[in-house]
Amino acid sequence: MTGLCDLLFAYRFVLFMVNVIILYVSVKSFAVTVNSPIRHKWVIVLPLLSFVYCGAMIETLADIELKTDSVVFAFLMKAPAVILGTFDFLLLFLLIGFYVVINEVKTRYVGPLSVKDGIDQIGAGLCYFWDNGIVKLANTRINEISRAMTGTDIYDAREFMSKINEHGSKYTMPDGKVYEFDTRRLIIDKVEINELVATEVTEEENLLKELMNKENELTAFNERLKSYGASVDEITVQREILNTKLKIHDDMGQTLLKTKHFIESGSEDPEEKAELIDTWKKALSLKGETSVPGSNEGVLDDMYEAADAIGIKMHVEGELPKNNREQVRILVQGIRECLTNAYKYGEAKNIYIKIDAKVEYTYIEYTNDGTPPKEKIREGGGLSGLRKVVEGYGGKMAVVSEPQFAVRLLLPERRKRRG
Amino acid sequence: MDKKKVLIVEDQVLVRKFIENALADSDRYEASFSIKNADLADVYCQKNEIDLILMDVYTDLGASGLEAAARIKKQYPEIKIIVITSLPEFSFIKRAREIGVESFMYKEDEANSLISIMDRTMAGESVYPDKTPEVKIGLASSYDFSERELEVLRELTSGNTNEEIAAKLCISTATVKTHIANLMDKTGFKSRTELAIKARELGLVIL
Repeated sequence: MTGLCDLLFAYRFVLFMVNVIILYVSVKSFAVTVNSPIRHKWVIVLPLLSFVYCGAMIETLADIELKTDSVVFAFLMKAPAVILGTFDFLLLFLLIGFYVVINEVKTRYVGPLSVKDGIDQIGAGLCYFWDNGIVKLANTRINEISRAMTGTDIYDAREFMSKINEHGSKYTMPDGKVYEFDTRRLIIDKVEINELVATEVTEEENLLKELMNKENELTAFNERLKSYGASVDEITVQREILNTKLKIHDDMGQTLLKTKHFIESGSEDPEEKAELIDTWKKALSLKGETSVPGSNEGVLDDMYEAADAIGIKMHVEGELPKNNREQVRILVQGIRECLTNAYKYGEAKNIYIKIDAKVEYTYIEYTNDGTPPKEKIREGGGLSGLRKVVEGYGGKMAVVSEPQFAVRLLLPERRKRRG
Repeated sequence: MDKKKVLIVEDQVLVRKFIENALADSDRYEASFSIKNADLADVYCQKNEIDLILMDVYTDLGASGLEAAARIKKQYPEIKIIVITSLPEFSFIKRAREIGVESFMYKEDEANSLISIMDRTMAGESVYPDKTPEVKIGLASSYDFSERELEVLRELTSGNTNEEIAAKLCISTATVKTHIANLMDKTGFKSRTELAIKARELGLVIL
């Protein structure tokens, strides 16, 4: 008998321990469930019922041990021990499973506080606000920026935005960090809200500053070089003139030497004398000759001469554009084409150039008294070449066939820059 | 024997007079016209029978003798042209050949006289110098540069940015930078401005 008694006692002890564990797990589950974001009433039922059941079981087991009668739990005393045991174990496993699941759900769930926690961790400044400026959510970074800028945390986002605009959408913090601001409108669950993002752009800003400095340097350099380009031709020409002058100097020296020899030799040879005179004439013909590069001097004369060379008389009305070599060059290229055309096709005797050089533009018109073209002029090599030059400069060119052949050019003051 | 008719295109009075004198001394040539501006050279070829043109490259108002030579060669291929320049720009020789110019000479060429080159040219020979005149630029000689480096240098003198130079020469900006660094290294110049100005002044590269 004692053996059986011992066995029963051990069985009850195990049941007791299992119920204590159930008690513990149910309390734990209960606590988790209450804190859980899943606030569904049925979720609380399992731990609650388990708690009541295991309480009853522990009470019953105690009654059995103390051999006291329990009125309340009499049915449990009468229930078969095997069924009770099986039920206890099943309940325990169910409860542990429940606990694991509910705990997992809790850690994965993102609640308002975890959102705030999360956005505070972000390096960028974030602020969500309604249209009236009231802030729904702002992280610590944006508040830091707001404090640096306005002295307070961000309360009225609209006011903050107008402050940002004063700084030109970028703000440099006292610690040297630079933030760039950007807003956009979000629609979340059919609710419209504004998002303000402050991104740190310190490094980019520094690189940008460096780049700007370099670019300024480069622009200055390029400008210097361009203005230099205008005067370099003059320098080159002057240098060449100097070289030639040196040559003349040598020639003169030689001529002097020859003359000295001639006089010293006491020769009276007329041929030798004539040669010497000729040498002197040549040497002297070069003296005093200088060209003035960059001036318009002689440009018109050159054009008159060219016209003259093919038997056409040129008539010019108006003045050449001043201080504008490019325009003058185009004018000369124009007269070349018009002289060529007048000579080749029109059999003209006279060519007329009208120049109207204003500050902003120069207008040039070429006409001649030759036979007007029978049909519309097809722009061939020469004229289309001129058109390229004119349009490359940024000017306009028109070719007219009636009543008289005419080429008209309109040139802006300065060459249009690329881009 | 009829004298050959020569058109002289040269904007510097002194050089022009020199050439005129040289022609006057010879019994084979006469200067039909002496003009300053290459842009007008074609006009003279219209009516007048010109046998030979002595063409400066860089003439009055910046008119290009090479462009004029190209136009004239197209219209009057029978007119012989000798391009004469004092500028060591390497591309001139190449362009002159492309255009079909018969002969090319440097003003400083002491070994060959102008008249002898004219004679040879009229005899049907094409006379070109073997190389450009050597020019000292900084620590370097003009012979020390590669053709590509000179091309970059030419663009540099225009005041273009590295990006613009790269686009124009169809190379990368990095390559442009490398070339400029090499140029500065060879010449010993401290800045690209100095480099560009010296190159332009010497006529090593002409835009």
